[in-house]
Amino acid sequence: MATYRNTMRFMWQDSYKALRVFLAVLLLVDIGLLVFQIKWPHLVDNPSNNFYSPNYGAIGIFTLVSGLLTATVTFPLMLSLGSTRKNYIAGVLSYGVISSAGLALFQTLVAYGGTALLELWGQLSESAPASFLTLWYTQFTIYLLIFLLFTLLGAIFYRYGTMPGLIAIAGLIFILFFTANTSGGTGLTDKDISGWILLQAVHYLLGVCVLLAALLWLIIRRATVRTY
Amino acid sequence: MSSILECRQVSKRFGRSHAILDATASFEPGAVHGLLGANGAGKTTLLHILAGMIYPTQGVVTFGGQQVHENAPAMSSICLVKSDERSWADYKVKDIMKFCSLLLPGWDERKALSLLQRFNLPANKRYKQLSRGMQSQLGIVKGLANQSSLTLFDEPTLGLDADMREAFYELIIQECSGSDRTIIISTHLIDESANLFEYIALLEEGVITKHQDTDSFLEHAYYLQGNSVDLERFSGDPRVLHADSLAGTTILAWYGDLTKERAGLEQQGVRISPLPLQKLFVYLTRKGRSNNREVM
Repeated sequence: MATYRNTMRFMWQDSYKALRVFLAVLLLVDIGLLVFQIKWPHLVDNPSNNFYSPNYGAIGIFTLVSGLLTATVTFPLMLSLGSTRKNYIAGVLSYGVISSAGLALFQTLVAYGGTALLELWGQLSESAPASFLTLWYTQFTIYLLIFLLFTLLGAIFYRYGTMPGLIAIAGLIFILFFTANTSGGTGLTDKDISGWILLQAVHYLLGVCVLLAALLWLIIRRATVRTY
Repeated sequence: MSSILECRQVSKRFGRSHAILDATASFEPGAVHGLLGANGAGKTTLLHILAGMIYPTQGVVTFGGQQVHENAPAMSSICLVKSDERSWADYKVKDIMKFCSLLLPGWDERKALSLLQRFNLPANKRYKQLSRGMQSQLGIVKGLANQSSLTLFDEPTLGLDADMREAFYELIIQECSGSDRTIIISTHLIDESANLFEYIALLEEGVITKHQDTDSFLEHAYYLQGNSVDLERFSGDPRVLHADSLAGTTILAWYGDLTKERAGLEQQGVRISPLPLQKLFVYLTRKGRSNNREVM
């Protein structure tokens, strides 16, 4: 238990600076967008309830980079400091869940807070965001999925090298193409996030997260730490 | 004495080539071991296998009788100091020290601070901004401030000037006197560090060809210097590692029993002197290579 606690403290120590800077910048941009939306709405070509939508992409990219670094930097770092692969996986999965939950909470608060402020200034929303819990749960699942997917890709690159990594990316693109086609072209990406009620699909995505975590463990459990 | 670390018939293959082949050795506790080998002999790979960072293709490594790989108590008791810690590149010195304090159970904060001061390492600089020598010093801080039972140093003196190398050797001696820490050091600077080593393991093309205490290792290593005519009879003797002749005088590097020949040679005026460790290592390595070529 003490080892797990120290692993989590290490994870926090490793990521909090980047997280702090990222969230501060995001919040400043959101405040700027909010001011523009209130003062000069004609300059912002966006429905008023969606002024915070760039956040989704930004958080997604942050999570993606976190995932890649977790596989390629944190893994050798932790093992060089006496951790086992099991400790690493426990730490990474816990970090992925906690950071995704935290980022989803941040974005849900921004969405709700921003919408409330706009309404206060008389900028009526075209539609209210989804319920707090639905919005949080949806985002949590998507961020966790991105984090695990890119940790997995990073682990493939780290363990097997460039060519297998590129093949894995090609495989991923193929799977995405295939699933988009079989869903009749009405992929989730076309949906407005605030109106997203496809909770069942989100449950499936959570199942995919479990599958990705299992694959990650299969790759890491006998992974070699590079000698440099 | 029972060994602290043991590897039995350990092999590691990368693709078609063997980095380590059938390595078997027992490392005695409370001693400094030298791991010697030419470039590409497999020292770094072997150290990574011993620390549980690389899985061997076959064979087993045990620490205190327990398997090392994925055994949390064993892995946290073994500290590997790499020659190049690339995963530290983007972190500041103070961050790395913080990570060490969180993950290394034997971390001694006060010792780390005193070593950082001794080496004058800037806490706010990133690892990649440090000079090669300073990077080595930071590795030394990790290895010495972590009071683990077993510390493995891979080329710890890379980039260090003579003064700092001497400081490192002094620190190792201090660390080992009055403690039961076991230290394994791989190095190319054999002459400098020869006095540290209580045991020597010689690695040649992935094979541990010798592993014994330093005194026994050097016991049968001599220079024979005398008249070329007197020493000519030894040409082709497997105990002769190397021969140099100049103006009627021959110097032989000898490795093996000399009891039978000693008295006769001394009567002939042949001077017999000890062969330094570095020279012995060089000649053994060369001979190993030429034998391998003959086999091929």
